[in-house]
Amino acid sequence: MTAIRDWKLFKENLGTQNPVFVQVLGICSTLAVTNVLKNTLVMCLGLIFVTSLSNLSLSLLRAWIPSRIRMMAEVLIIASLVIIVDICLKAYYPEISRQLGPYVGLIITNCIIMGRAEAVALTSPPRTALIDGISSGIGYSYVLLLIACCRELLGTGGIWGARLLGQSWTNWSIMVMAPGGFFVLAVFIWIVKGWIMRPATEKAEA
Amino acid sequence: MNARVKDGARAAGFMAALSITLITCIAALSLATAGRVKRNAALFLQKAVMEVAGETVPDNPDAVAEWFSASVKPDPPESPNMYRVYGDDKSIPRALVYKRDAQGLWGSITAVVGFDPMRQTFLETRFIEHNETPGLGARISEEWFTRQTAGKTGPFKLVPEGTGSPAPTEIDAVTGATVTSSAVRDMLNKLLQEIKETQP
Amino acid sequence: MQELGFFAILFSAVFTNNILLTNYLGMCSFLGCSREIKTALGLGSAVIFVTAATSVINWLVYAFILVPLDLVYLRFIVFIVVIAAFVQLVEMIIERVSEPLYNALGIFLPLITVNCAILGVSLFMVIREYTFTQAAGYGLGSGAGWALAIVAMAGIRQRLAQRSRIPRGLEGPGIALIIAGTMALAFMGFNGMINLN
Repeated sequence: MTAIRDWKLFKENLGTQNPVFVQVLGICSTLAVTNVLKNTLVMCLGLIFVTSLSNLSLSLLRAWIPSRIRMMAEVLIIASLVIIVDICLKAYYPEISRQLGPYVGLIITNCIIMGRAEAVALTSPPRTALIDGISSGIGYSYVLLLIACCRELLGTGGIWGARLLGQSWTNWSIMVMAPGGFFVLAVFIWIVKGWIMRPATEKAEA
Repeated sequence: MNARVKDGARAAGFMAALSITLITCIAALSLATAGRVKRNAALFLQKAVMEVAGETVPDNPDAVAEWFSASVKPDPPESPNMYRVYGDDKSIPRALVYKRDAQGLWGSITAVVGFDPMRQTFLETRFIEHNETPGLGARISEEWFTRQTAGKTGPFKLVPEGTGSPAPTEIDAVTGATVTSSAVRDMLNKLLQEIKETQP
Repeated sequence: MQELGFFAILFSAVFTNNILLTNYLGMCSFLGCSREIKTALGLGSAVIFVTAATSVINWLVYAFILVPLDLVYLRFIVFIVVIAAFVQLVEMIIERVSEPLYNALGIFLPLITVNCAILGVSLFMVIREYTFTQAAGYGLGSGAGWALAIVAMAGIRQRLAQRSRIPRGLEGPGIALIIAGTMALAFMGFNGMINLN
């Protein structure tokens, strides 16, 4: 029984309740690095790590956290987890850590983590909280990875450093610059809301 | 009133306990990896010098450090800004590698720039530290950019990316990163000027 | 190469390197609170104030406490705690001192702790090794740039809501992102107005 419920939660976070499409939350810190696929992947892995563990630990502590200071407690735990990610990157993947620079630290203010902590972790048992953390992390990541693929392919003519579009391809430099990120995300939201989600909502209305 | 004070004390106590636990964990992790982080930083420079001097860099970090201590002479020994790289012949260096800073769009860029021992032509360039925008200015670290100084005499002027100019005074700029590219060009030209002035 | 002065940094943070339009920081509240100019103006002013003040405080904390004690790795926690505490303090003060000011600004303050732009300014300023005056200019400029972007955005959205037909899938955040993209393009026109060399 619980397994079915967990699976449902997992699917919702990836699809109909996807944090990026439905709530457009938390894109700040990662959108900036989506012009290179590799950096995006690292950021997303860091984010999944932080959301799942912060959800788990807050859920375990939820009985003891005084409600007046719960925001501060959340921020402290999230910030510590982010520091752990940062230190590990510095020690074991110095090259990537150097490229990401301050963006790793900005995972702290990612609204998804705070939002999940407030909405789920403080009210649910650890198991549900952990599953919710992992699935919203994944739901968020796959969207950003798609965006990164799109931007890197159009902007540099290749993915992961390997050139895919022949020499005749002219790079769309605008894609790796800031406006490209806005446009690609807008088009993604349009596609999802217009063609994929609409049939579902219309069915629900009818 | 009493209940409020008790509540406040409980909140403060909880926060204190939480902060102390978390900070202890982080401090422990940081101390445990401090040596590694420091070695990584040194390794970046050593690898860059090795690449600029035209050696193939071994995968093993210890081998890099060993090569560096055996065949490189930093000048001045404390806080060096130039490295003499020696081959088998220990009397004359086979490459001179300069460490220089430039002011990029987002802060300083640290580069190592190679010269042949006669100080006539550039070797390759490596960037060991920068904060430029990923995908734009950060592309100065890409191979096509760092390789293009090799064999050229300078002083340089920038030509659009993709030109691949063989002219001894031209390097390709990075598209969309004018400030970064100009900063690199100026740094190279300033270094050249400096070398010409000090040379007899 | 000479160091950038206070005004050069301030100017470039507002126009050429707007923290919202080039670094995407502070997107959540940017998309959420940009339907009306009045709200945008209130939130914008709160952000200017908090960013300018916290960048200065965080610079001092960083330079005089974290660096001497070799605790640089704790900077994320310290910065966010400073920001959260500062916001709370300001909220309390405004509430007691001035009712109209509280009504205009106070309600936006809790939103600000989780605004990435503010933490972002503190982190960027440390990584770029700014001096004290540069950090102050950067903080003030970034706040002002963010406010400018959100107010402009709110103006455009208000007009758009009155007289345009927007495809259904693009309503809400979709069209806001397209506007933001166009604004980012327009702001790129400022590039080169300031010569960083």
